[in-house]
Amino acid sequence: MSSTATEKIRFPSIEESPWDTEIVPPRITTALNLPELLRYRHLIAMFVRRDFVVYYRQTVLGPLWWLLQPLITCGVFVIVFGVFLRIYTDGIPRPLFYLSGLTLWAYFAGSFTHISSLFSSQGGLFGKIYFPRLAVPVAQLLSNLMKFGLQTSFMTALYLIYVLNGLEIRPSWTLVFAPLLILYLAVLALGFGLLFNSLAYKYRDMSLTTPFIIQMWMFLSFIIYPMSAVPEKYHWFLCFNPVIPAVETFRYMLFGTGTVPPWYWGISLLTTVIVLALGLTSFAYTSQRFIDTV
Amino acid sequence: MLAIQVSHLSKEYSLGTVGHGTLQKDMQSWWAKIRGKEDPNTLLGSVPTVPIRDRFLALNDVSFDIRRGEAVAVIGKNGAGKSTLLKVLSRIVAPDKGVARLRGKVSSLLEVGTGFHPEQTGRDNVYMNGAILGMSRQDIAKRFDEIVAFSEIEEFIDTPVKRYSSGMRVRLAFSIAAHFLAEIVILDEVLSVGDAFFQKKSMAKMETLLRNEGRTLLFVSHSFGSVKKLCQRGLLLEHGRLVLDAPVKEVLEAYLPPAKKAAS
Repeated sequence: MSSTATEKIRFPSIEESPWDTEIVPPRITTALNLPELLRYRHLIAMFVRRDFVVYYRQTVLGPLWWLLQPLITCGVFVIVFGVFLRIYTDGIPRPLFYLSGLTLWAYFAGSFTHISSLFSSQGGLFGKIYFPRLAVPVAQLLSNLMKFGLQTSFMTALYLIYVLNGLEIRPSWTLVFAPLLILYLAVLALGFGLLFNSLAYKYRDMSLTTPFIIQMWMFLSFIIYPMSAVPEKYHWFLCFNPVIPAVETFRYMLFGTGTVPPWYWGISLLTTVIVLALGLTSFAYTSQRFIDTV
Repeated sequence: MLAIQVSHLSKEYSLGTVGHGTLQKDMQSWWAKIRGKEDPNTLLGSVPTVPIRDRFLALNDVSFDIRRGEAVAVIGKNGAGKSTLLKVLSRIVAPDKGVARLRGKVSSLLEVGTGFHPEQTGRDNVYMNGAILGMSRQDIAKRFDEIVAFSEIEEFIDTPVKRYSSGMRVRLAFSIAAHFLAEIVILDEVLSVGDAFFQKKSMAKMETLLRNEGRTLLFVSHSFGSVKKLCQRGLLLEHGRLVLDAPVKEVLEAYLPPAKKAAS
């Protein structure tokens, strides 16, 4: 077929081509346009890269901070909760116990904190130009993932050193499912983060309470002590915290200690789905509205 | 063929405070309402039972069509709804009523230099900005040299943007925007960037980009010179309403008489 023929065929179809964009009053579907988000994957990659390049500019130690933060926290925990208070750690060496909890917690808490202040940190950009708003939180989850990877490899090295020095503990084969745990925490952080962000755009109180909530939440998430340290009669209460099963399961995968009852996972998964739905819905509405409010 | 179709578009803004801004006070008011008590947060002197509805329509039932390749100026006084219209069409704020349909990609140049990160180099910012504008890496790489050359900052392209003078920053930003122009262009007073020399250069660039490549333009400016130069058609807005849709000369005349009378 000649090129003129194809042109003739194509031309009317362009004439009647559907509209590319339809601008309507706020709807969920317009804010959660996933194909569009995929088209902007290059932008997501740029955001991730920028996080790396910019965050530690003009610091002496650079990305080493990613290792130093959990390391120093872990050291303080060993001294305070190990040496002073002697809190039980299920027979796992203290540094490994704390590090395993801290890396996982840092992933959740870091993502949650960033996403929950999305409008205040990105308001300037959102007010000037359109791009799929979800690109920013998704990029945040990805750049925190790299941080998590770096911290985990450090923990693995420490684990190996312990094993070579005669530690009896070995990881469980279930460790291959660890990425699912991260995915779970990512979804949870996204849901809670977006929900808090939607509240924070109207109520400035929220941005003040977030650090406080994060701190309290950590104490209730078995980072410092194992589930077996909690008296059985209080266990029902813990199912309100969907972070716990992830932390406990992660330790089970790593060290073969601790158990999580299935019903417990059930409740947590249900909570996560509800929180994600609430977070995305509120984000869909507020992201098309907040420019008018701030 | 239509590039933009706007039908019955309305956008409402509230004047007073909607909530109290803190969760505690909103909860207090809500709790008082539930118990049928007086709201402890109502202002003294205001009538408590009548809800205050200080709202105004920044856009009031606006409808128009723009054909592909047309250059249209939006004209009106401050607060007439010009910027709101452009913001709705740029998808920065959502309308309250009505629909706007667009055919083709939209470049919205409401403010140049958006999304520049001061710690990143000029080069990184070109790529970042291009990505925000929806360009792929290859697209950006292809036009990179041209962008840098037009902005006249070759020597500083690998310097963090925070060390740029404001003129350099604006030049780079304009150059990025101009080189990634899509089929539909939404402009809000961005032509007045940089020094007089660069202004002339950017105006000329815009003219060629718009004339020669069949782009559709929606333009807000208080500079009648550039409006007349770039646009054939004008939309006159008054208090959120579209009051005149005519050739740009007529629209400017309709908008101007009071000033002319005052001058004569």
